[in-house]
Amino acid sequence: MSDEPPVIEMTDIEKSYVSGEVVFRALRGVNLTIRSGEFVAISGPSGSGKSTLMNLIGCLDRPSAGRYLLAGHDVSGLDADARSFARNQLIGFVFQGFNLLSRTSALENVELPLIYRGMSSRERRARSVAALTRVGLGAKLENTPAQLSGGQQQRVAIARALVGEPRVLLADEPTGNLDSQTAMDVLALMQALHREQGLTIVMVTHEPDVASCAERLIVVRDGLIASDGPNPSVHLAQPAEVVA
Amino acid sequence: MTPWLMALRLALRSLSRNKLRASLTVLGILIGVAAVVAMTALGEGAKGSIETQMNNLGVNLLWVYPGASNSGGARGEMGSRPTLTEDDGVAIAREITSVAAVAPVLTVSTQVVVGARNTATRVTGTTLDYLRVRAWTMRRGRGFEDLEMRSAAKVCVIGETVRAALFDDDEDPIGRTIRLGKLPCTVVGLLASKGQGSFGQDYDDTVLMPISTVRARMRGSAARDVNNIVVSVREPELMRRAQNQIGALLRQRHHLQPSEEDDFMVRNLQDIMATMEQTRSTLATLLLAIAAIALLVGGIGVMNIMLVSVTERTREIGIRLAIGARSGDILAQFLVEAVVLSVIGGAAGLILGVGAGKLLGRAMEWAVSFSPTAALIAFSTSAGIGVVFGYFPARRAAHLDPIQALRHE
Repeated sequence: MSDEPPVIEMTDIEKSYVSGEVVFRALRGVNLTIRSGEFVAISGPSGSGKSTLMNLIGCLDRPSAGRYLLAGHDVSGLDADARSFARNQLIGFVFQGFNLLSRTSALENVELPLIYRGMSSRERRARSVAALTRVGLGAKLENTPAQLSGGQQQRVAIARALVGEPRVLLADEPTGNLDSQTAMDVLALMQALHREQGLTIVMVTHEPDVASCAERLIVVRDGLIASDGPNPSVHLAQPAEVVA
Repeated sequence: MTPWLMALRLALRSLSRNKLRASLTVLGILIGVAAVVAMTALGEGAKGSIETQMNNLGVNLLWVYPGASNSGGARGEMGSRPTLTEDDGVAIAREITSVAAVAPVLTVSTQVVVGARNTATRVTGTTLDYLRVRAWTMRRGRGFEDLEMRSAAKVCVIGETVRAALFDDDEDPIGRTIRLGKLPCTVVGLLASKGQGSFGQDYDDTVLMPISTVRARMRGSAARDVNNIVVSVREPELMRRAQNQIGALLRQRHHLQPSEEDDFMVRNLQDIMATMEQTRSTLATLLLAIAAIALLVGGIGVMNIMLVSVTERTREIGIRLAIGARSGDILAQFLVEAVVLSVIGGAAGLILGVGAGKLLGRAMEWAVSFSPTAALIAFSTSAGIGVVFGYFPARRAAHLDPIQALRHE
């Protein structure tokens, strides 16, 4: 276990945005290491740089300075296509707004990352059905997002994130669009995946009770990590529906 | 499923969600391709019928017409001055070596009667050489004989249309007597059918008689003037030379001073055909211009709608990029969609073009001929338009920033 490189290893990461003559430093030297099997919550007030950090962790953007090793690979200087490849192979995304393709069945949504891997349709389908079954939607394969509740849509999104067997699940405000009970269902599912499969999860949230479901709490403030430590009292989310 | 097949399915699904928009978008391409297809069909057909006519008439024919009268500044129609005589024809045959055969033509329009049946036709008085010049053949019977020519005998050869008008199909016209105006006349031969010319003239609607008979018994005058003289030239390459030689000979025979205009005209079939060909190609160019404009407008329409589509689907593009689509994947997706859109327009245009071509052909009594080339042109132009005009929107989609795209509402 100790021989394995950390899933995320960031050293002196900076990110600046230039607009006209004004330079805005969103991140000002972040050092962050996340090991395989951790469940981390990143929180902070808006404007703190947590979204920027999230984008950098997810290889959606490139740091202005510093080094970022993702699963041992240096991804700091990759071009857009290479970052696409890294996202496809190593990262699973769950967004606040679900971001499913409309008028497209749950199954096809989940298949999408595998399509861009060029996987055969049979294998793709088998793995997607398994992923949807795992999140409790084995009976809703052909439903489109419009035919699913918010909680169900987010579970389709989680299945889509999991289907490629990523090294890390990145969740950006995963409960932001859900009512509190549905939010608990989704968090319970994430906790179960973490517990049972050792899935590494990095979750960005500004809600303290959502963050309290994680095992490690990181607070970002003014472009720097303000605090980083284990969660003394992990809250176990109680699902209303039976999941898994 | 291969990536391209996937992209094709994706494109069809995306287009089917906006059927009305898609059909309006392809209208320009549809019209453009239809114009190209119709033009090709009409062009090919016209070319074909011109060629057929060339072969029917013979490529190496010259027509000599009397000149127009020119009195007091008012120029009469061609042939309004009787300056051309049968002797001019004899002289041409005798003196000009590049000429193969010469036949004078003296025509009279008249009513032909057999029993209770009659028809109006044109009687051509000519010589034995006429059949040779025109490369016409007999189906039954014989031509005139020398003695009949000299004696102005009351004999004639009839065309198929005249036969059909006067006789039943099982009747043998040979040896029967028909009445041309007031002149009873024995049918000695039946011409092989020539079919219709491309201007609708019927070569079979004719009666041939010795020129001496027409002159003496139908015109009732001894003047040796003729309506025209048909000349066949030995080789098509000798046409120009023969034309010039005939001109020089006739000027000399008609005692024209160098300052005087020709009192005759030598027309060459190729000149007539060239005029027709020019008309055809002008029309073709016009149609092609319409097609080009329509295709350009259609292409811009495709580009416009693809740009709208990219904007509308910015979020979808963001999702795809986030989960691992590369710029090439996005480019291919939108490019395939543009091409599919255009090709659907092209296919509809092909159908419309074939229909319009047939309809136009029928209305204008013009031969149309459809070739696989037309389908190929339709397909390749429309696909090409899709690629050219779809590239810019597709490139724009491919280079979207995933973070911005995901934030797009």
